Amino acid sequence: MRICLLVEGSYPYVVGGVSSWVQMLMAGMPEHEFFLYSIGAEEKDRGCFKYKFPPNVVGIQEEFLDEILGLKSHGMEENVLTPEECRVLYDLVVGQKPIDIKELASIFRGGRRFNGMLGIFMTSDFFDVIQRVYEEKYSYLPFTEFFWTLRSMLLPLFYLLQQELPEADVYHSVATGYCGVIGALASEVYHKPFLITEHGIYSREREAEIIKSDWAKGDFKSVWIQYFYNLAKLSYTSAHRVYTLFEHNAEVEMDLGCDPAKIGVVPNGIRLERFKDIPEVEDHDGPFRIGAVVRVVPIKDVVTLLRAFFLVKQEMTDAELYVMGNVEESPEYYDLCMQTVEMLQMEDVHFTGSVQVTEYLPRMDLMVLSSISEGQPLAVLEGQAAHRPFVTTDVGCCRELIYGASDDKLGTAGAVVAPMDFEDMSREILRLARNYPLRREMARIGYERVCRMYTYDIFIESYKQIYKEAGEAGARWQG
Amino acid sequence: MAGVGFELRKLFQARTMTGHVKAYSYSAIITAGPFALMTGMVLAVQMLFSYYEIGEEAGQIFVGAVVYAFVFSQVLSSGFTMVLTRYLADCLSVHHYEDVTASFFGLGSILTVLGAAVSLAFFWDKPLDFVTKCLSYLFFALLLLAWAESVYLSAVKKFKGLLLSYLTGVLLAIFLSWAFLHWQLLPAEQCGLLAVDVGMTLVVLLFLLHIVDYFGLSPEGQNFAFLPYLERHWRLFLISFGYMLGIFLPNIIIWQGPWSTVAGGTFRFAPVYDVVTFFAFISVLPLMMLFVVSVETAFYERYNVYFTHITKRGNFREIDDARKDLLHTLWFEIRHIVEFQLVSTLVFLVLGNYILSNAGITYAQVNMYNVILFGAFFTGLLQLIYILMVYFDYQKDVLRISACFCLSNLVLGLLGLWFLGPDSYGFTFFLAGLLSFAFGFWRLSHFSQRINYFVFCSQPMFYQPVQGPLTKLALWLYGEKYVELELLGGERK
Repeated sequence: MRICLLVEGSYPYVVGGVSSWVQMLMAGMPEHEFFLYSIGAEEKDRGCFKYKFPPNVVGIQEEFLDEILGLKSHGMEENVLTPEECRVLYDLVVGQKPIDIKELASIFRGGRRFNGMLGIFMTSDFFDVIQRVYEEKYSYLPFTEFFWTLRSMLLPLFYLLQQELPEADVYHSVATGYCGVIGALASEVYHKPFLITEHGIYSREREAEIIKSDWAKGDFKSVWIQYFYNLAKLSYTSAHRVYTLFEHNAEVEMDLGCDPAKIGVVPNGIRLERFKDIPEVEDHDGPFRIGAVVRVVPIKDVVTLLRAFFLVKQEMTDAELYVMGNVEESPEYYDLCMQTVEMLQMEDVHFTGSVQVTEYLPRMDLMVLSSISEGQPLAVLEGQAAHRPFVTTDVGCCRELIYGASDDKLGTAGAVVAPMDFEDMSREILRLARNYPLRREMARIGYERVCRMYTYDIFIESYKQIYKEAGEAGARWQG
Repeated sequence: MAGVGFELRKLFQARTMTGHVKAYSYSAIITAGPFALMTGMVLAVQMLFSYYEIGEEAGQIFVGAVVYAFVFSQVLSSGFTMVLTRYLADCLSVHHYEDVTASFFGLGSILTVLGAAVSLAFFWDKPLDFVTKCLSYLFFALLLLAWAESVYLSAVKKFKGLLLSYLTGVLLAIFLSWAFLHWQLLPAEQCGLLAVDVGMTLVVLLFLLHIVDYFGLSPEGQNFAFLPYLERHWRLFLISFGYMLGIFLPNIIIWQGPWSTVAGGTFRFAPVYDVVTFFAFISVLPLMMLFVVSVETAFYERYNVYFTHITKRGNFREIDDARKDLLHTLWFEIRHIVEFQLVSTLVFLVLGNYILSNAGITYAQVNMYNVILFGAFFTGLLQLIYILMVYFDYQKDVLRISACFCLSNLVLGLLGLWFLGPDSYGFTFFLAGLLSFAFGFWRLSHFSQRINYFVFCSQPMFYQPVQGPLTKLALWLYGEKYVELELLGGERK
């Protein structure tokens, strides 16, 4: 079976989260062929792959959004779209009604209808739709800016919708943005099933990004945010199944308009054998070692961890903190951490840089994760596989990993505190540090949980099953 | 005509009867003044010829050289001056003055060389005396320079100076022509041509003084920095060229027919047809006069408001209200002009019938005049439409209109010449004018109905200046010092 994986802004140009997931997925299924459809930002990345493709990768289609800047606008055209198609455009921009990808496909896939790739932006129909949307929804904004915002907003999408679509038996997108819409479109054009695996919630992430951005100003931020929610909605509507890593995300997806019947949870998995030689936590004399496997970047909120450790240190003078992870990614943030250490005059804080975690984990008595945003953190899964109890912040799926999902009765594998609450974090650390039997029990529960639900084998088996079902469904539709 | 509007708006602000009379007279003088003076000059020299009883042949050669120079200098220069107008407007809007005067020297040299090539090809096998040919070319080249200069002068805002320059040159030409003929220094036609050459040289130099006085003369100025505009605005070039050629094509075609006479074995004419068309075109001067006033005052103000709302963060209601106001003014002014012109045309109809009949012109030819009069009427209206649409920079459709005018005159004119004979003379011009006007009117109505769309969507998604051979030439000539005006004036694009 040939599976087309659609990725956006990640694999194979960026190392980390989604990219390693893609690599793991493909490597685990030698029996299937994979074709990559990858959307990148800059043309200069073409061919600069950060991963070595597994042998079952049969090809890659790279689309870069900055290529659009070189396109030429040809002449203006009037009355190219039917009233029905204008309505689809309107619905796409307004986003109040679910759009059928079939209708969108009819605009862009019906042969060379427009004068070049940018043709649609020069049509009277496009202008009329924009004017209508403006008059009905945004009449308080300056019109010229609104017009140009919508032009540039729809540009990447309309450009991608007009590109070649690879043929495959199953389309599998890892986000609900542009690659979600393209997957939906390809699935519609070739009558094959379309799956989504959403790691973070794409539209929420874009929302956070836009709110912080400088390029979108004032009220136009809401126009952009709405647009990404519309894309997500379109992807959800078109998808046959939507998978996510943990239950909380599934709830968010439902809130965003995804049919609950389509949603499934498939957690990430780790290779247990890497951690099989690591012994359980012991009750020992000497310093109490706290570990954190995190890159030293703002989103991991290492400063909160340092503050918590400062409070711990007041009570347990022999405690040590090991921050295990790259310190070069954000030198300013690393400097800030060093200043905090100096200011609080703390000793026994070690920034190890990138290390082999399997060598360090055996020496740790307790693990901490202080992030302010996470999906399903691999660091927690690995720590649990190494029989270590955890104190984490309440982000991403940490709560599920510590307390268990709704159908998990194993018990508690550590403690969860509110993000940035360093006092609570220090209290929990001390509570666990002072109670060896509790720590040991929590470590056991964590290990058990990983074995039951979060192994690489379970992850691969789940996707094998998912692809099998999708393949069968595809065959039925063809028949 | 950037400067005209400034003066006219000032005059209209007075809101008095005298102010209005002044404004319309002002416009009349600016529109028709140079034309009247130049025509007066030719007529005066002709009268001197007859006073000194110069042979008919010499008089015909003189008129031939002057008329050919008038016709072909306008056809040859119109495209260039139109594009130059755009270049100059950009220079002024981004306050880039150092290349303004320099660009005149650049364009002047191009036009002079092109003019020389055209003249060489034309005079190559003609039996005229070499000196006569040189003097004819000189007049042709001087006219080319004068048309180029008039683009700058419209921004200088010294219309009195402009008219005085014309007057001085014309008077000098008449005086010299009298002197040369009186002392019989040269063959008569050369006397006349040399006199008008000197007069025209004076005009060109005086114009240049005005330009240099206003824009300065930068030794660093880039003479050919305007060249990229020719490839970026090639449509504007063709629009103007097509319209101008379309106006003269009927005459040029009829010169090849049975009514033609050949002066000095060189200049072909159809005297009756030419005289009749000349009078017919005089009849549309009121239209041009009124048009200048309405475009530069009422229309321009609304146009300005509309685009200010578009560029300065107006919301749609403001833009649309301005649009309605603009369109209302546009159609109101057009109707007003058409009505006024219709009256003027009818007056010319009556006067023409009376005068021409008494001047010994046949009944059929008087009829031809009546038809041409309406041809000129539609041609004048067509020009009005095309200038308005150029204002909105809707170049594609204007080019179609211009092509329609030029081609219909060519095709209908040739059909008339080859198949229908003298009975069709004038009528083919009328048909071409009517047809093109109808087409132009249809496009303008269509444009005005969808003006918001055309204004917004005509902006390309990404502005990419054309990088053709002329831009490369400019870059090669000036390298780093070449200034990209369209990037300086970011807001306009």
